[in-house]
Amino acid sequence: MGESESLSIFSLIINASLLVQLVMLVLFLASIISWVMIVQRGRYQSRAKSQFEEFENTFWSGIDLNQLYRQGNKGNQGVDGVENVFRAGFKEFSRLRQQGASDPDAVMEGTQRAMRVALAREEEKLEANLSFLASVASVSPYIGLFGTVWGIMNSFRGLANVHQATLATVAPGISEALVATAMGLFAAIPAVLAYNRFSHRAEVLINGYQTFAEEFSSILHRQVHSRQ
Amino acid sequence: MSQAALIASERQFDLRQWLAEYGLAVSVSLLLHVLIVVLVAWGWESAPVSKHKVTPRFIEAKLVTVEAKTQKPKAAPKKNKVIDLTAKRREQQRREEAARKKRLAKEKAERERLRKLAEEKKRKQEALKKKQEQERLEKERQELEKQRRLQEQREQQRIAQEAAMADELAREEEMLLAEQDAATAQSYVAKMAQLIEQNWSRPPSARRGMKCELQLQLVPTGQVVSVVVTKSSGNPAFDRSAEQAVKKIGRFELLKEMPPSVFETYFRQLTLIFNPQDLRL
Repeated sequence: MGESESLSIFSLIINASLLVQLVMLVLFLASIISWVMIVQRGRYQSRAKSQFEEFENTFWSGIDLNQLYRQGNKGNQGVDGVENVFRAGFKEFSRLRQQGASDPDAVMEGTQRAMRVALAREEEKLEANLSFLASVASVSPYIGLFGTVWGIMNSFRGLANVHQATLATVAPGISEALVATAMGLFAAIPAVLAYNRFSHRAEVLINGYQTFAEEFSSILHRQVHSRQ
Repeated sequence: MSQAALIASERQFDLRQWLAEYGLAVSVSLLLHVLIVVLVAWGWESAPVSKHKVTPRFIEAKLVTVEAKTQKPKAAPKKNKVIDLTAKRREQQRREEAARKKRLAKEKAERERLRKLAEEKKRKQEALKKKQEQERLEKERQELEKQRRLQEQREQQRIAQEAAMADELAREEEMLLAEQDAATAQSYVAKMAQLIEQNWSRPPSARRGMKCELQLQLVPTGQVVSVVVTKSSGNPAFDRSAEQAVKKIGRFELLKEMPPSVFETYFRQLTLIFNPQDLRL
């Protein structure tokens, strides 16, 4: 069987018009990039989750907070997630205490602000690239559909000059055009699934961070007011 | 200040880490796509078989046009028959000649006479042949004429039949039209009856079974020109109430929309029967 006779997917793609080919290229790239994001996000978020659990375990094991801070100082590399919140809050707290701020409310306020900043940064990190997944999920079916419509338009325009229009004269063009839709869906479906999953996971993690920050600030609050 | 520097260094460091992380992700994604492309390309191989089956159908379609040409060969068999006949005649001649030669060999003395005889025979045969051919031609001509006459007759019959058919069709159409007209008239009458019923206030003396017939004269605008009681119910109050009901309406607006032919046949003079149980024509 000759390569040209059999309707292999490559010959379909090669025979397609330039615009359809461009659409296919865009969709293929979108699919590759979205899969890169999916893998990276999956790894990052699962690591963040395990770190969060680990840190919470060590935090509530009754360890001295200074020691915990120093532990983080040693392995400064790879400090991530909830530990950043803790470190930001604790650093600010100890600095304010060292500068001799007498007003406990001012100390608490500063600490909480520092933790809020760290939380916002962590949130940003967790939700990075999710917007790209969302836009791939929502737009790529349309791009694919556009390619298909364009291809079918072309194949029907070619049909206008043919006297005996049979299915065999239209079918290759339509098949060719439908490849674009298939690719669009192929790019969109994993992106939708991944976006939903990752955004939910990010939300859960951020909630966890926030509750941790609250708990930590309550501990600090107790410390400030008891020492007074 | 020191914190800003720290963040900047962290970011630089992050970039490297980020690259390391993304390297794995990129490789995984590329591998996945290559795998999918290979799978799709393999799965596609079985598809083109069906394409070969499609092409013979065109040839089938062309065969239909060949059938239309089969009428031509009908002329050929006649020719063949003619040729056969002449060939047979020739053979006969040959046989006769051979017999004559044999006789000549046996009776050499009478050869000349016989030859003369033979020549005469030949002449006679030729004359016969000519006669036969003429007869045949005449017969053919006659047959053709007969056929022509038959065809003419048939055509005349056909024309007559068609005319009869057309007549019948026209009659049927008329019937249908009349039926349609009757149906539309009925619908208008129903509407009118409803209108009249709304405007009819029956006197208390009206009883069941009382019947009163009114004749209306209408014009195409729907205006009622005159109302006459043609058959009284025996109760003058009842008759008057019926008359009053029609006069109260005065003009049937809905008659304006009606096709004029229907109006002329059904509504120019309308007879209404008033019956207290229900209102009817």
